[in-house]
Amino acid sequence: MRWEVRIMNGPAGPRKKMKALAAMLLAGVFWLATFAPGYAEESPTTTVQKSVREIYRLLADENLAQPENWPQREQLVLDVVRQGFDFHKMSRGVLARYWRNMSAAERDEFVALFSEFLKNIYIRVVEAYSYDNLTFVNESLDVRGKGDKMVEVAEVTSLAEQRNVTATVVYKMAKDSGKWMVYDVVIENISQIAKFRAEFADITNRKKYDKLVADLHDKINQRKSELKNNGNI
Amino acid sequence: MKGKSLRPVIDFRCGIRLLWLAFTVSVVLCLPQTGGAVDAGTVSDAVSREAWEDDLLFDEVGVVDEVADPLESMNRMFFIFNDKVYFWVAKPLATGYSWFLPEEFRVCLRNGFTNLKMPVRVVNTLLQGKFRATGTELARFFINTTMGIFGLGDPAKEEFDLPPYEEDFGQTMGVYGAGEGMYLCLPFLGPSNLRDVVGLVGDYPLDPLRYADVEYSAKISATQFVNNMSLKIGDYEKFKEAAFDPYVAMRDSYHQYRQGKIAE
Repeated sequence: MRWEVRIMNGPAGPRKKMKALAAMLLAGVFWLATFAPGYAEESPTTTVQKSVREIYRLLADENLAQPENWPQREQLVLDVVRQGFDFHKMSRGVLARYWRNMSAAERDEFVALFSEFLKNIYIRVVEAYSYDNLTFVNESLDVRGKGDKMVEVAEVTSLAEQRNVTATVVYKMAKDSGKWMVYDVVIENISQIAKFRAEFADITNRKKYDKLVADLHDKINQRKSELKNNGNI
Repeated sequence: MKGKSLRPVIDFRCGIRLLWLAFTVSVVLCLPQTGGAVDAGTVSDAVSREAWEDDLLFDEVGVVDEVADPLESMNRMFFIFNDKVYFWVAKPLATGYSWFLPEEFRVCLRNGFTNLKMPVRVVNTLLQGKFRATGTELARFFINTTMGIFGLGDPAKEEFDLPPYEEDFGQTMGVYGAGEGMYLCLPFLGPSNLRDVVGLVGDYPLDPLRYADVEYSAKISATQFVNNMSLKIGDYEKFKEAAFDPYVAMRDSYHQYRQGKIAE
């Protein structure tokens, strides 16, 4: 406690003050750098922009555009999308009540399939617009809930221009362990999670769920066979 | 002298203690998050977190049940009918049309048709009390009709940053509290609802084409349909590709789209 006593005991010289200040600064920097990465976190817009830019880069890569490299490209895009999109939350959102009845293995299987499916859809959307025609115009932050049950949310609004028609795309994000992750994409006021939730609303039993999983497999295989046929691989 | 020689030591120890304090506090703060061993409590906490987090994040997604669809059987029939019309008639026509006219020309034509429907947007923005939007629409019409050569170009948007306001009578009724009534899938026209069908009737007198000769008006409308369709080829296919039940997906998308437009 000697340092406390010294402070309490009155004026110290400017040199000593500087040393004490430097020590406190050092401790602060150490704490921030080691244990509080959240302070240096990316903004929601930066997270989305980085993810979108990287996907465009991968899709424009001439080497990856070679048909024999398409499977690799698909995997790389999926890896990037997984960094910024919370497919676990999305899966919970679309299956709603049925999610609570699922086993851990079933949930993992669904998240993996749904991620692959959404990645394919996202590539289609991205392919329709060039990166130069995308602009990020707004970011809003909010906190939902109270006390322990609180979640930080953000909405990043972007505009996509094509053939003189502007589409508004809003990325809904939630902060999870200090990182912003997208949990819904709203295109022209249409929440994709709400749309899928409406489609999956009648999934109330095992039989219907199995049919959904089979449909997911079909759609994923359809994409794979399209790539195979187009690239003759 | 004793005090003076001690102080540098004190400052050094001060730094060490602060570092140690920071380390201890950080470890204590981080422990509950990293959670060394996974026990039953942690799993149930995670499940509980999922439950309340979903309520917070997806509460606004609970709009599914709001779409009343008592005529679902008939609507599904018309949905299939429209699907066939698209693939067997509209798409081949629009594809053939697009072979003869370059995309830029088709975009210009679409701009022209949009410009012609200015009265619909002006009256509905006025009725909704969106006077700024009314001014924008009038300015857009003036700029695009003159500088944009009869509305074929859109300098109002490109040069003056004046985007269009898509307002119609269905939205106006929605703004004043009219509900959707029920979902309707109309032959040839696609998704709609009772309120928006009434809205179509309300907008009819405001459409300048309505005052043209019937034959001329029909030709213009057909050209408009094929032209605009030619700029959307592939969108419907993508929509179906992303859907597990395209009928429900369309119904919900339309509901959300219109609700969003009314809320704007």
